[in-house]
Amino acid sequence: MTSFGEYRLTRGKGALWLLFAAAIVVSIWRLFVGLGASTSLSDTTPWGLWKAWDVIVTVPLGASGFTMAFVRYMLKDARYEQIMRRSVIWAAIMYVSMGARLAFDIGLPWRIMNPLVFWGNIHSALFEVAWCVALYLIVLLVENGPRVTERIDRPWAHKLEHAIHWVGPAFVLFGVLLSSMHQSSLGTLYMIAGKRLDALWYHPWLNYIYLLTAVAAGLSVTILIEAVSSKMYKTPFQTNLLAKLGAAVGVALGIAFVWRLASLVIEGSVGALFRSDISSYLWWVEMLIGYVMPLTILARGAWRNDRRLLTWAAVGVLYGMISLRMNVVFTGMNEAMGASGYWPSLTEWLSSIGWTAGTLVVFTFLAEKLPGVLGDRVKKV
Amino acid sequence: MGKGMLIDLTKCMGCRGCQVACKQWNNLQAVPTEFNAEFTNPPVRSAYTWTTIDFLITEVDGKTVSTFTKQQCMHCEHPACESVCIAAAIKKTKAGPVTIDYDKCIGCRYCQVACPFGVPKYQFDKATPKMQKCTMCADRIEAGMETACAATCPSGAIKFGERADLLKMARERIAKGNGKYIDHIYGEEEAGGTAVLYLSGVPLDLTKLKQGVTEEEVPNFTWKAMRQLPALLGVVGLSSLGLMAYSSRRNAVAAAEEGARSGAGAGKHPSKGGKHHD
Ligand code: SF4
Ligand code: SF4
Repeated sequence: MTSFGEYRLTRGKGALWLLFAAAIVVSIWRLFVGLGASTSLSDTTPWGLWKAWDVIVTVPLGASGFTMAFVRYMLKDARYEQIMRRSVIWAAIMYVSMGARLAFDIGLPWRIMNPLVFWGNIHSALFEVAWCVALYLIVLLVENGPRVTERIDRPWAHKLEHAIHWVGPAFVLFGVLLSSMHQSSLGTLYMIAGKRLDALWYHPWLNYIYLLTAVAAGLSVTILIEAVSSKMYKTPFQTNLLAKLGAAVGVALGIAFVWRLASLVIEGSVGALFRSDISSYLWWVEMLIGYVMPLTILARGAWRNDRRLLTWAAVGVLYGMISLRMNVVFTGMNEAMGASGYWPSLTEWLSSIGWTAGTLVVFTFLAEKLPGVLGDRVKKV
Repeated sequence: MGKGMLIDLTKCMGCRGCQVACKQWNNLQAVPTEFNAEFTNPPVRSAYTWTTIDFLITEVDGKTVSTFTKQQCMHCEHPACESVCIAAAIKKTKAGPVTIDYDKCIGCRYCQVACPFGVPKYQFDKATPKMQKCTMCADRIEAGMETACAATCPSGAIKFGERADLLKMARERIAKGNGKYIDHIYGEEEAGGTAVLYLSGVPLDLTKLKQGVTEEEVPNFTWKAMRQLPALLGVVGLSSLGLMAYSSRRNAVAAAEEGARSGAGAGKHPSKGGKHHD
């Protein structure tokens, strides 16, 4: 006996499925024509939209998983159970999707597992990211396993569920460790550039800035999932619980903010803020929307307990997270790599947008098929 | 120490014989080219052109100065490209060259981001591309020969040999040159030292050699973060376990209080309160 939920295909979801399908077609087409014909990549822009958005940004967008598992199992706060379920399944979708997208970005996709299986280089931050992500996929499988097994009324499923329940906390801890490693190592990637990276984004410990902003972004993603889910599926928006997460976001973001500014002062780069060129404007926008705005909201109890304001703060945090990563890859390295004026090709856009649409619509699919994800609703839809 | 090359820019006459020799020995296909104001031809290095003579024509104090800079992989003593390669495809060999194993490379292109000289070039035009760069003729070195470019150079601008000997030679040339050379051996300190060394008669900004390259060993830039990972794991792991223990205790106490108040007895698994089926 199995009892999965029913999936309702609406026009909006249909459009997202179509975009997703288009992205997959583009990705397969890319295999035949090569990177040169399908992208704007070149020797002066070896890493483009697919690396920046589909890997370096997508991984922290999935940071909702380890942060919420931490809240639920390390802080052992059972009130967060339903919130955690949605955050963890979202994380699984992001990571699987990221892995697939990374495969299409590398020159020889069928070799993606080779470094893990045959040979590797422990000095490479990318190697470390690859290993952690591969292992973390197993953790996500375990963390999400009960959503499936609980729907299957068979002895083996019950046994499996019991086993998962038993080993769960160990896996959660493993997942937290793996995430601390790969979220920070994504920052390590560009540390190899040293001061070739523009002073605005250069930071001697970019790895820890990436980890802090991944934590902040992960919890912000959780807040946004709750906001959307409460609209779409009438799940309760538990403002008091989410405001507590908001406070944690504030702490992580605040540390990153102060540390970034302090490093600018220590490196003597404050002058760069007033260069009045596009990159310095981008820095200001990143700071105001991504740090100042959310920190202002999150610092006040009354404000972060306001559903609207809390949601806005979360959006700001995500903007800041994405902006930092995009600026490091593009704006900050532009001059060092030879200022080639890279702009993603149509197929790069289509692929990135389509795969991203795919993550959204697969979430709706799993949420509706696996009722344990949504849990009790305020009102049936 | 391994082999290297000493390129004396004062001797180069811009004939580009080295470019031809490189293409020939390494079987590199010709590429379409275009006329450009600086006469560098082909104008950029690529997966099919591993070395070029970069022309620079400028005016100094009203006089036209033109310089020729032979460019290729520097074969760093501590290569950034090797340190970042996810597949361990890039290796600094004992003999001196830094080479790429095509069978291992997955095409992540991190080496292109990492190289402080912008050397590795990818075959973006191919469906099964390879990462390419000057190999310092590793195959010739193995066979006891010098590099193709050094063997070809008619003016003796490219000397092949042990890096240590070449450094000595370079110092001597500067000392005996009566001001013919600037007092800088490019590659002695750049990127923590490179196997390819340069002597110049003009300030380096009148050559096409990359300026402002760090003198630190580039792999340290990322290693300083990666070597802290065990510590990071320790801190995160221990604090997680500590929090877990604390939270269990807190939940147990809360459940006991709750039980005492309601008189119904404490729950047996207070920490598992969230495990509910619907
Ligand atoms: S110059 Fe660049 S490609 Fe050549 S060895 Fe050094 S880091 Fe590697
Ligand atoms: S592109 Fe190839 S050689 Fe370069 S870092 Fe990636 S796997 Fe290594």
